[in-house]
Amino acid sequence: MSFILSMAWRNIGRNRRRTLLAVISVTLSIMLVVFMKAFVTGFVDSMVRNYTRHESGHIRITTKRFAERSKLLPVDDNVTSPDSLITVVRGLPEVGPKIVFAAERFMFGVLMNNNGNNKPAMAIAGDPQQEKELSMLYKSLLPGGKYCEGPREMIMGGKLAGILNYTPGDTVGVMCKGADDALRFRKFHLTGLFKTNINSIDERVFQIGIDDARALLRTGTDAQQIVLFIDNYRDADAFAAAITSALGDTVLSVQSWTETGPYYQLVKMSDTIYNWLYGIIALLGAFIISNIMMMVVLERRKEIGILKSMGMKQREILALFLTEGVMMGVIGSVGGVLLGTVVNGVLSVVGIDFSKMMSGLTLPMDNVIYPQPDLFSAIQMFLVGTAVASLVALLPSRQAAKMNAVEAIKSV
Amino acid sequence: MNKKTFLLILSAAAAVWAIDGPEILRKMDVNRTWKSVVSTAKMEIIIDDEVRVKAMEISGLSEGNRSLVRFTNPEDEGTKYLMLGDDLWIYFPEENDVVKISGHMLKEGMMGSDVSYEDALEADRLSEKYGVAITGGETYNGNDCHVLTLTAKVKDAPYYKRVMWVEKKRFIAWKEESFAKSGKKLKVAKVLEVKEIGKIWYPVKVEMVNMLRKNSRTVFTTESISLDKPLDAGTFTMRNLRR
Repeated sequence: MSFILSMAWRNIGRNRRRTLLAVISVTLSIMLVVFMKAFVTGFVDSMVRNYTRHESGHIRITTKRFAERSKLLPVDDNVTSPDSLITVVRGLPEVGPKIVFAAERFMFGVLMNNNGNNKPAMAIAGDPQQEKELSMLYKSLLPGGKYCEGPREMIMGGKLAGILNYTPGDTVGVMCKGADDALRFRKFHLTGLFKTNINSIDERVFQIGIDDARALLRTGTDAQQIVLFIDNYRDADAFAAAITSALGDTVLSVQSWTETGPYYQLVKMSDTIYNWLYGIIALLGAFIISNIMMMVVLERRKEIGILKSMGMKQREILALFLTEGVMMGVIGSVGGVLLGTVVNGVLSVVGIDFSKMMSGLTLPMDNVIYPQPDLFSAIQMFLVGTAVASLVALLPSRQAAKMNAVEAIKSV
Repeated sequence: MNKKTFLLILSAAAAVWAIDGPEILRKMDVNRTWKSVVSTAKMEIIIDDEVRVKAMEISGLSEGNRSLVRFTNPEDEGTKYLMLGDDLWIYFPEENDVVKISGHMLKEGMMGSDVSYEDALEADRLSEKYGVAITGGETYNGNDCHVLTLTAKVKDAPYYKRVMWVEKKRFIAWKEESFAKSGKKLKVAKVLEVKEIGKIWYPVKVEMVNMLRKNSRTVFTTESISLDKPLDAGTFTMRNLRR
């Protein structure tokens, strides 16, 4: 076997320019795939993070009637005694220790008006101290602004404030339907503006304290939803099932983030599409190996005939050519993974700014996407590159192995 | 005069004296005509098994379609609605502020009831906004009724089509169904009780069902009422609304 390895190594060095071409082709395609995978992971992660932080939590507990109408964000179907419920959930042995945050929240639509400028907006109301940790609104406060920690204080998206001509220090009137379905109105002191760079948030969201929301909506001590954040969002399905089973048959609905919005389906669909795409790109990159190997087999027909007449077996010829293809694939894949990782390493710090492209989008995505390289994906992509190179080298190698020795020697 | 001529004259007279749709609307409008109204009323909003009661004092002047509603039930004490023509302002006492309600907000239920602000604001004569045809006759709750179909002839009519069961004798619309242009039934209103005040038959108990809400109905009961008493025009001002 070692002589095949040394012969193959020598052979790929016989026409270095041609080998380099094949290796570069594989390198570029694997680099592209490595980058794309990290980029898509960063993109999806940004969407999941923003969606769960501002809308669903990793796990959301509401009433079943709220869950049925959740798109409308009703405020008349609320969880009673939410603090007791949180204590119960935190006490569950398999779930409790994994809960990072458990927060009571309200989210509801309102109408804002300033001197004839009407604008529908969405309120996020929670405990100000908890939301400080949880939400990115506090972290995105613009200089000069103050967080909404006191009663009747509010922060709002800079773009929303711009549309309504509000500036910090202004009094903002908020009108909405209360829990009794009647129109309710409350005035707030605008203490600061935030800029998250997520258009769907900056253009329509404001934050107030949960006590103010309760006073505005007239919900008493109830909470519209309890959002739980666990240490790994990928475990949300299993934990939601565990909480449901522990709570038994109640009026409550416990849902993982994968059930509460359209984004999980989008993530699943993009996963499938991108996995196919990665395979196709790797195949295209490696296809040049097949072409080069075909040429090599044709060029080396006499050599193949001589090797066969000297006693080299068919399977050894096959192994020789296959090894040459695999070597080019391995070198290209290693190069691609290394280059891709370097590119991702830089971009994971610098980020890719899509602000202009995303100005019209309402997806909960950051305007700057940071690719997320990881070792497992790099190894995976290396294996894909090598496997695809081996696959495309197989056909010309079989052609070489099956050649008739006499005819091969006679060929011009 | 032979029998044939007599029948001919009789049918001609009947044709002359037969009431038509516009005439019925005119007579119905008479039942809605007063100079001023002062009343106390309660609104029972029934959703599933829950009943929310809203109590109110109402003052209204026909001239300029002005009215002021002041809620007196503890939860909404001091909340006031001022309607001037097609405009509506709400005074929120906790905030000591007034908000004008306009556009699609007018279609929302008043205080969470099945009665929309738009329903409450409606003061135009039906004949001004709707074309009418008599589409049948039925006995409804023991009253011999015309069935009228009203179709909007102006864009700002609150409903595209309305079907009314109007008593032939007193021109009381005992039942009304309102429809969207798509044909979807939006509201059903039934008069449960009427009271004769002077020459007017006033519906003192009305049930309204918003078909777009689940298991919900609102019963509006006028508990006391006096018509055509002198009212100070200053009652219906923004200044008084904030007072």
